[in-house]
Amino acid sequence: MVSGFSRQPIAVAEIAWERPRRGRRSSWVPSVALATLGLAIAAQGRSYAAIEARSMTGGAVAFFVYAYCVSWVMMRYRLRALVATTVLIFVWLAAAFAFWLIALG
Amino acid sequence: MTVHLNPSGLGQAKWHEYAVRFLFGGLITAAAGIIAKKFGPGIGGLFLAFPAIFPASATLIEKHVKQKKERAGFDGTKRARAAASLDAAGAARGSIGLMAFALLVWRFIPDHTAYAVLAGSAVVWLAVSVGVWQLRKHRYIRR
Repeated sequence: MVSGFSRQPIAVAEIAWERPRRGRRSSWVPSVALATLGLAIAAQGRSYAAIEARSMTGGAVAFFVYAYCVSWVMMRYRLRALVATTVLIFVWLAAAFAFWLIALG
Repeated sequence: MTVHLNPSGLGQAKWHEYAVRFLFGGLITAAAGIIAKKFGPGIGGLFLAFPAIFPASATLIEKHVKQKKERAGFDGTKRARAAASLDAAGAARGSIGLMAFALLVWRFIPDHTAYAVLAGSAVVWLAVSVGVWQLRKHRYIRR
């Protein structure tokens, strides 16, 4: 709920902020992170949130890989956005867990 | 292209499109909490950067651009795909800001006030994202 509400001003701003040819930004606004870290701090403490944030760096690296793959695959193989973004979720999962195993595990 | 505010764009979005974003954001937050509880914060933290909203956003961008082109009497499929692809490339660049946010929270939250660290990291996220955007824009113009 917290994340859902935190997204609304961002979604409104995204639609009002006209930048159609360069990609919008709210897909990667840290709204989920802010909400989850806030809840984690309240429930588990700051050390717990720090561990989550450390792993989040791996998730962000994986997001970079995933989003570039989506961009490339859509143009190269002429896939629809829904298909490309859904099918390539496995790229995010693979990159995130690989980063976690290599750098953080 | 100059970035500018266009409030009329708000009228183009339907209520269910806001609802989709709300739902996905909430669901992933809940899922991240459950994963962290079951597998620990090390694994749960990864999901703080899960592409929760991105598939819905990219799909909606593709749909809007296609509809706009069709209203003008064109097919719009290629243009819509290109718009969604550019959105994805922009999201990839934006994830650099997300990395900066996570690094700052990780390094500073154990020894500083939580709200100050979260607020400061969010400001840095915005600054890095705008900086990466400007850098890309200048490189694009120079070409």
